Amino acid sequence: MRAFIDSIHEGVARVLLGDDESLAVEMPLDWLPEGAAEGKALRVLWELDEEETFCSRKAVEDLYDALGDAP
Amino acid sequence: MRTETLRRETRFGVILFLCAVAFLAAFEQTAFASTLTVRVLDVGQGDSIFVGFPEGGAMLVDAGTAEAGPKVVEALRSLGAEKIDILVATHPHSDHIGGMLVVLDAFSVGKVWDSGYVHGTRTQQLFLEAVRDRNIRFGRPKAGFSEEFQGVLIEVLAPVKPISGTNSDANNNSIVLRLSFGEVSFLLTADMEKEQRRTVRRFPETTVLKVAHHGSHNGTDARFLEMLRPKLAIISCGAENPYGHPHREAVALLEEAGVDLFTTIGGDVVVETDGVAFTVRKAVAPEKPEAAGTDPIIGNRSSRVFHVSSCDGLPSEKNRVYFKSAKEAEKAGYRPCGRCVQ
Repeated sequence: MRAFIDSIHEGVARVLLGDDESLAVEMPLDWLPEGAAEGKALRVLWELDEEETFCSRKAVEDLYDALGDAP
Repeated sequence: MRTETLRRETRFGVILFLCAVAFLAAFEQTAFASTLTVRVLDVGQGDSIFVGFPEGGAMLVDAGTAEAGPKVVEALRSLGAEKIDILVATHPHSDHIGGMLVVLDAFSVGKVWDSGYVHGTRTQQLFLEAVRDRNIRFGRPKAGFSEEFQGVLIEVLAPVKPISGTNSDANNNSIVLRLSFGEVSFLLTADMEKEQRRTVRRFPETTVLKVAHHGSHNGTDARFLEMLRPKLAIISCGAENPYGHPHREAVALLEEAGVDLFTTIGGDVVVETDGVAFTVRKAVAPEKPEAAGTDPIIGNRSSRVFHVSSCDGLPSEKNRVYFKSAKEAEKAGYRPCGRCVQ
């Protein structure tokens, strides 16, 4: 996916996503790779992380077990 | 003899008068204390519903997004809530439980009702951890569970059974509540979609409907409305939200059914009832906090950075969140702007 660094202000980067740049996302600058600067294009790759999905669900299941069920 | 009769009659009259005064005083007190208030808060795109019970108890059904959390706390405080007796997390989407941490920090909570749906987000984990760490009574009520609280019958109509394989299993495992007070009832449908709707054999007639899923086309259908026959419907959604809520199909169905329709766009929707009749009004919130003489703290809901109002790097109006203090902003997860906040 195409992304473009539109602006950087106070450590916050405004990144425009998609070919039509229809979605603007503001994020901490330190989330971006070194050398990130206004006017730089980014390549964004989204991947499913099944391991993290499993771990996150397991953490919630364990919390439900610990909390019990007494409405 | 006549004098004695007169004295006896006078004494009887005085007793009768005192009884009447006592009865009227008790009646007046009961009448004063017999209002149920359901206030659907304007939390932008999300859900948060405050229920004020006849004897002063409080229930909060969902807490909006993390950004809306401080606003929910402020609203509850302004309504005089000191404690939340029942806190309901209808399902774990962030626009329903994102504000829970701020609420749990601000109020003592009697018990939590949760859908029990395993979503896995950090938002859900942090919420459940906060409940655990505070030793709050916790339950996952299912259809058939009911409780009478301060003269109001609270019934759980869903979840009937776990639902999977839908476009949004989180929505389809929502807690759906019915509140009945005298002849007036409320159906709080959370984000229930058609798959969950089909698992409920029959929805009883309902006076006031909190429309499901922010007025989405999948939250309402004609058969559902025929069963409910609501007089009033309330849609909780934000202005110009990216989902197009409320969808025109849902609005058309409600209009065809002759239901009075309110949305939370621009203000809370407040319904009050004595159990016989009800009133509804829109409580329009001021656009900015009226903190005369104090400098409001302005957060950027995207970057989660907060500024003082004189900062030259303020976010656009649509991205602004107002706080009373830097402390409140930090509590809501915002960090200070490096330039303007000392």
